[in-house]
Amino acid sequence: MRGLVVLAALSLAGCSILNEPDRSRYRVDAGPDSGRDGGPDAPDAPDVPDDVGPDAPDLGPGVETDCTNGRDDDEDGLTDCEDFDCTTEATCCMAAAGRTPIEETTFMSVGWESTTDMVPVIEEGDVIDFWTGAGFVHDECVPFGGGGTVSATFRYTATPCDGELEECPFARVTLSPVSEGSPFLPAELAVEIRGGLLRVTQEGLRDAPTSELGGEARDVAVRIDLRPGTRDGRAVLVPFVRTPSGGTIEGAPIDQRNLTSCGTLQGLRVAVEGRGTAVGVRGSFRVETQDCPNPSQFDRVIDDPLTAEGGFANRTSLGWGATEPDPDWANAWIGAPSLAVLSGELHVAGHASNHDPNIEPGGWVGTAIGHSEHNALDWASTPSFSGPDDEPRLGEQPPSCFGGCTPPRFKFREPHLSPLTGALRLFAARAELATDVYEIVTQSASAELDVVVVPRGGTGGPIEENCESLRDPFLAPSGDALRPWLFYTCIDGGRSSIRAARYLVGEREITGMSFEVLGAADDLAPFGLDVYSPELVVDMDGDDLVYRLWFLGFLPGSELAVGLAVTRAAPDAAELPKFTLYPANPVLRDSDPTLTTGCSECRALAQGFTVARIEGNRLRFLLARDLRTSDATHPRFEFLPLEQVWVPDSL
Amino acid sequence: MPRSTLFALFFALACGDDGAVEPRGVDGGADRRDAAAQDAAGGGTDGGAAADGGPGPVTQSEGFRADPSRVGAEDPGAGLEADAALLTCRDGRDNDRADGAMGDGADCDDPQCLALGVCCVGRADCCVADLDPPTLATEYTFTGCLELGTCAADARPYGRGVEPSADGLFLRGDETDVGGLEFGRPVDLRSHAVALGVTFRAPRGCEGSCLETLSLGLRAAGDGLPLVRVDYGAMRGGFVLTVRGRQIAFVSSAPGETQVAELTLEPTGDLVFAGVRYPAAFVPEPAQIVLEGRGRNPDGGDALSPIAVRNVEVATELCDIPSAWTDRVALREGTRPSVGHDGERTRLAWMDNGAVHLADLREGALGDERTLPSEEGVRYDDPEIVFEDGGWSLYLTRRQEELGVEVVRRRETGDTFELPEVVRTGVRLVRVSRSRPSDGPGERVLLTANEDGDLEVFAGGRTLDAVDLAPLLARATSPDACALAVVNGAWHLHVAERAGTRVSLRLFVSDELVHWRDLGEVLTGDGQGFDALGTDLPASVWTPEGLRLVYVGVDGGSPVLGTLLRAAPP
Repeated sequence: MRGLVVLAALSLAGCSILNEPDRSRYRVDAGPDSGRDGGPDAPDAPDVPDDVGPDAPDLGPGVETDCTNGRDDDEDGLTDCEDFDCTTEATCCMAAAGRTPIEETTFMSVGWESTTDMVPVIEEGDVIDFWTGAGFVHDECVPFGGGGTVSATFRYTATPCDGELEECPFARVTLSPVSEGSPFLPAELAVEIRGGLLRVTQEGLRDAPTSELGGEARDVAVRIDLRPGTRDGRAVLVPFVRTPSGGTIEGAPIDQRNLTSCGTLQGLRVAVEGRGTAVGVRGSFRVETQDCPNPSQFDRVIDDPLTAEGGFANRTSLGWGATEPDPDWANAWIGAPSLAVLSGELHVAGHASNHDPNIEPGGWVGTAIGHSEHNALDWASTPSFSGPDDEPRLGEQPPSCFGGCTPPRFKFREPHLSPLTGALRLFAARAELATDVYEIVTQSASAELDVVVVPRGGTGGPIEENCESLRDPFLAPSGDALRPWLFYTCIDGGRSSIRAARYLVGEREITGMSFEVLGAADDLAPFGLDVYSPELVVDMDGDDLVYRLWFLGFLPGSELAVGLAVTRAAPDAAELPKFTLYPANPVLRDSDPTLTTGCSECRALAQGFTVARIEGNRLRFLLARDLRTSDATHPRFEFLPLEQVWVPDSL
Repeated sequence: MPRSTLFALFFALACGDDGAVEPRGVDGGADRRDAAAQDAAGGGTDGGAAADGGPGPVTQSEGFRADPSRVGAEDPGAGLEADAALLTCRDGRDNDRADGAMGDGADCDDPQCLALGVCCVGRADCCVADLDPPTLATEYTFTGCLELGTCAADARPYGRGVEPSADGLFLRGDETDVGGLEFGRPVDLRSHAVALGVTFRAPRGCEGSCLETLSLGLRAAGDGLPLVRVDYGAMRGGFVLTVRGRQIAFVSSAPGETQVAELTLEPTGDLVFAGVRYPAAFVPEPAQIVLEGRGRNPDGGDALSPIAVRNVEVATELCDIPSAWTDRVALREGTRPSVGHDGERTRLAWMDNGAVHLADLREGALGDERTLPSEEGVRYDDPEIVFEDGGWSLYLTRRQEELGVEVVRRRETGDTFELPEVVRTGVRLVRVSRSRPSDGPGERVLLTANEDGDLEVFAGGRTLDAVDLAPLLARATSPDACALAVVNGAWHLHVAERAGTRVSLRLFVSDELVHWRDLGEVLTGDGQGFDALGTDLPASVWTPEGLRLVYVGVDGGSPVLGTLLRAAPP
């Protein structure tokens, strides 16, 4: 029965068969969660009548029912592809930049390896005989973490098979985390033709959704789409298999933890496997990766990590090495990076010291701010930045001393370079050397220093009464160029939260009431009660501004991790609405392999990060890491560049 | 401060708040079988756990005790029979709470239930002294010690070193490097609770301006990086607690010349410092205890009276932590492993290419490998090697054309196995295990499966109708992908579960095979090597070194047997 989609096997498979994900069947509740609608959501309803498979994603505040209508259907402040509900939609994806698809017209070309000792028989580029069990696997791990597609054409002979289905000859396209099988690869997803059926099988699922092919020999084209999404607080890839009849089979979500590492991105191996001659695979085989929004996938498509000084292999120097006086002001520690793009130039700032931060629990380590620039967004061709001529941009030289010198009065930390005020302006946290009471200051290009806001008990600027100490400044647009939002970390009673207030560009200080952006009052799980270090990217969408907020927090075990939250506000909003947390937070953590990029034998601890839009839809992050090998007596601090796609071109 | 005092302090702080694994899968007692099934499979809550503070009904248990000598009850004074008393520790009620009064916790949260092994799993408040062999000396006194070898024989200087003196130990680091001592060999913080204390004389003449520091803590054995430490700094006038270099707390130092810092680390990841508990503050791993500091100041610091360490105290205890495994070792290709132990010898049985194989397991390697001779018309499978009644038995599933499937036992005599003795007919073998009462050799527990895959449990000459393992195995990779052994007086059932291509082990624990606590995932694949994708088909046995686990590594290729060990109280 050609083209008929068989639903019978659905119930136990944990899959659903849809012509396309039908968002109209997703439950929409009366309003958002987070305590804003006065009550909890309705219980999760089934997707379809008599549904026994998994429900559509329950993301708390309802679901965006249409990802292309330009409306915020679930009233969570996020529209279409901005909304985490929409990440699995094709319209929110685009072809991955900079990656060559795997496109084969013959399986004899370089790149395909036999999965077993038996090599399948190839004729005119097609695989026609898999013997008693054989296959080819591509030698490159395909980074599907940002989404992707696999297109294949089966050579279906319609040879009858009267025995048990599992004993019938077959051919399949397999997506696996490994490249060896016994005899077949363990499949996170396999699309196969066997016994007159097209089946979608996944390891651990007992029954597979099927589509009948009928008795006519022909070519059967299938396409697998993998798109990132979230389910039950986990980051997943959702597979969609387009069948010859035009229908779509939605597979069970693949946990992103089950992917394998393809460099900094994660992905799977692609293979064609089978048994016998009844089904073959045509040489017209194509694998393509995509750039779908996936906050937990970071790509490293650029350049080497940044270090304070030159002289390290595969590292780019920030030029913060001083020759006189000794010691260098930045040779022992750099941290808290800030990244800004202005007029096609890249600017990097960070705090630095001539003393190891591990002294800090026992003594006061002074720090100063360094600032360097590069005349290009990438620095591969010129692997060094223009440094500050042996002097910190802000602070003393050397910034730290113990005996034999006069300690500086202030230490400066957590710089933020903001292009919002016309010229590039530096913000930083400042404290007396022998205290942990920080205030926020700003410095113009001409080195004039102003106090922006002081904590409770401080003097010399507007007082933030809610906080004992203020750190991590970040200036974000508000729609009013003269009154952007100043975000900062508020430390009070031993807890840290993120707050914001209006910043007066002319006065160079905050004004009006501040408010909590993210803190213990929010459901921060899996983070503990403390969040800090706001970094934002803000987009215009229609008349509104969309704020994406990255922050740092601690997981159980004191593991540092990066979280993401999003909100949307009118330009004239007196206060920003509550942020919606990404359902699969954290997006990056100490234990992620990404942190040890370039040194697989090392152990790395995250120390801070920054994000800026580089061009179009690409975001660049600088991740400050403390990188060590087991035989190192001192840590090595550096800034690791990472990239990520967020908003598709269509937006 | 003597060792006992250190731990008294530690437990006084630790016991007040049970931050360990919340009991799950403990049913309400009224319908034990159904409730246990529901809880174990889905982690659901049962009605018995409602806010009912008064004494609840208790009924006789119908299971099979791992160790009948273990007694625990929330209200032991009530004169209940042993089994009924036990039920007070798993009925979801705070049975000994008086009306209107604050309770002392329900079930395993009640300290009176900690006598039961099932309540001790995954917790740090019923550990045992770690004396065999002791990991470390318990006290190091440096006052009056002029020769390091006489007061800290197992300590080694590093960095800028240390200087013994009549006043105590000086730590000779400076602003570029520390000077310190590392003590003994590394402690496995995944399975051990550690209490540390240091008493020292605060520096004089500093007036808060010089780099006089002392740090007591642990450095990760794997990468040598600081894990947990308490730093005293004269500049800062107090103590800073850090984990992986990240500040957790600051505590001002008390007035006075003599300063004391005490720190306890629990294998649950909790820290206790200065009387405050920090839950899940660190990730336990093997670590080296170190004392280090900085005390030489370039501007004439030698003229100061520097920090002088008077003594350091160390105490360690062994806890029953289900994820505290040693490094894994690949053995050889094979599947369906079984492992037995006779007090000295650990033996393995497994299947490979349709044949039953046996070998000794010594120091992580196989020796004396043998293959069970084949027999015409007979197929053996599911080997279980068990030491019982003073000798070794090999239990097997036997299939013959005319007799069908049955479970047989073959006793070992010399180099051969005797003729099969039929144990059960019409079923195949899943596991054989033995209870381990403290006053005897234990009794056999036999798990079998019929052709529909339904599990049955036999023990003490009867079928245990109240024992239903099916809900626990609902997500297992195969109906018999489980291991059963007694650890610290409780049944430990490891079940292999699949999530996509990955396979991990989940642990359920029970006193009597009826009521189960779900401890969650306790072992996963290594991400590389022979078990890159997971750990399947577990087998386990208790040995003097701890729980020996043998499993099948999953990496997509041929199955490879792997093994590891975890220390636990006996």
